[in-house]
Amino acid sequence: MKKVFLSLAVISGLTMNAFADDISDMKAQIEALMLKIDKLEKKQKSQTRSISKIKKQTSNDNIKWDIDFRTAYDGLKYNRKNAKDVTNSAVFTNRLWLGMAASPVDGLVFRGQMAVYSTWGGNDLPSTDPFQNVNWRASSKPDDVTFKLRQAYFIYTFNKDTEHPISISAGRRAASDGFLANHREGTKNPGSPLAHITNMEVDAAMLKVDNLFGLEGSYVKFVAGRSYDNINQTSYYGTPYTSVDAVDTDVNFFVMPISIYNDGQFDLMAQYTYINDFMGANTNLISAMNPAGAVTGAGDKHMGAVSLEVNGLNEDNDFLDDSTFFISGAFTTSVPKSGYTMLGSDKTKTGYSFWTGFIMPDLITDNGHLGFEYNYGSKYWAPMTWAEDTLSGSKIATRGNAYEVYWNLPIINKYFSTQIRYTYMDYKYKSNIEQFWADPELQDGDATSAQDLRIFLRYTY
Amino acid sequence: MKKVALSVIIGLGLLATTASADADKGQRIYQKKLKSVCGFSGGVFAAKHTQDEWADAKDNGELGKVMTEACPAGKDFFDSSKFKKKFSSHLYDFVNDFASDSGNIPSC
Repeated sequence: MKKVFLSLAVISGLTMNAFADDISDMKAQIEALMLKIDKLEKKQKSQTRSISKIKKQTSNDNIKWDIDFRTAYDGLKYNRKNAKDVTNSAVFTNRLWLGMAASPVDGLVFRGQMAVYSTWGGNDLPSTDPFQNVNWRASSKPDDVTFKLRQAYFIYTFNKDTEHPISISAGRRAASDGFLANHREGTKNPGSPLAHITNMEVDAAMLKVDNLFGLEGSYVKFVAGRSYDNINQTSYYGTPYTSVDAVDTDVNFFVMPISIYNDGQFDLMAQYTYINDFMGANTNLISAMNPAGAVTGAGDKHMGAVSLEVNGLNEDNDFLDDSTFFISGAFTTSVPKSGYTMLGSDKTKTGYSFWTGFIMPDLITDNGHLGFEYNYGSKYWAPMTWAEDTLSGSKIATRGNAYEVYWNLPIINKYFSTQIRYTYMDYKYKSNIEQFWADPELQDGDATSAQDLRIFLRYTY
Repeated sequence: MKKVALSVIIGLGLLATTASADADKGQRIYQKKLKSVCGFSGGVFAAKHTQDEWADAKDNGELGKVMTEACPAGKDFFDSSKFKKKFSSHLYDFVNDFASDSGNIPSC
């Protein structure tokens, strides 16, 4: 028995010694591994810092491109007074916006955008409409496959650390994605002009002052620009870039968009616009080439609007929280000079408009939204919405009643989406947006209503 | 025509993906809930970290903590159950879009 215990004790002793050696080896190996891990972690941190630094430099020191490509179907129908209906069962269009942005230093930003908006196949539009390719809507109406400059401007912001940061900007901007129009266009973030009275591509300079009223999200912009320059002398005459006209009839404008209050839920905006030497008609100038006698320098125009959007109606209810309601009122006043008419009258005329909309979750899909809008415009209502992207003519400019329903539906997150939109415009007075008519009342052959069914697929990145 | 339109509507409805986070929604949430509390714009808030840092915070379940460090005055909001259940994914998409190394430029 003793021998057995002795043997076991010897074996245990030997084994313990062996284990002690192994544990010691393992400890050394673990320590070595820990050192290696420490070194690797330090190396990784250093590499991460370097990658971040390189990423910041490369991302912020280059032009950042973005793409917005849309292909659309439009079905059009017009009813006319004492004349046959006019229809086009299928107009197909492609619209490409190639956007760019750069901000090499804090406070200085450049933005640009090239655009093509074309019909499938050729068309005769430019030969029949002198306003088809004018600067105010050059890239907003479908035509050919030529790239046009939609936007190019800089923004320089200073006083950033003060209560009232100030920005200055100049160049060309598409004031065609304005406040409230973004819903019907299927765009989430609107531009600052109030779409109720402004939907134009403009060349202008801008001064913006933030927090002007001390109210949350408030700012005011002062925008001055030119919508027409009556240059008609070429180098052929020896005095290029001047005018042979006796009177200088450049058309200049001043716009003051104001964000009165914006806390993310309640967004209250207002805008005043003055246009000097605006277009009208002069009956002495009527010709085959100019059947309306359209001319600049006919008079002045004043416009104003106040718009309120409530984004999220009740936070405790998912449906209402994801719904949006808006309401807007606006006026336009035309003041013709002696010898000219504006909107078919030689007297000062004011028109009014009302616009409301409700956008809600579609209750079928997870991110789709249904929108319902209504517009009313009076006899002399004449906003500057020449670039509005409605093939059947500006819905906002309807003198009468307009009804619209649309379904905005993301297919693949924010990258690929679709919209189905139906617009019905019931005209009580002239429907066209050019505003050079002799009489605002509907004449034989004038459209009494217009319908536009649009379906588009849109890729954005 | 009506049948074609109806078919298109149903077809597109079937194509739609399931709910996903939305950076625009995140931006609006920031404006509604945090802008006045934090005292700076959403662009400044998002640029407090790189995309990797925001992603790490999200993966480690520490988004609320990291966002609180970026905006201490918003602690109550970041600690709320609504933030975790309803807002965090949208806010994450927003900060990721405008992180300091994203190269994206917030609109004026």
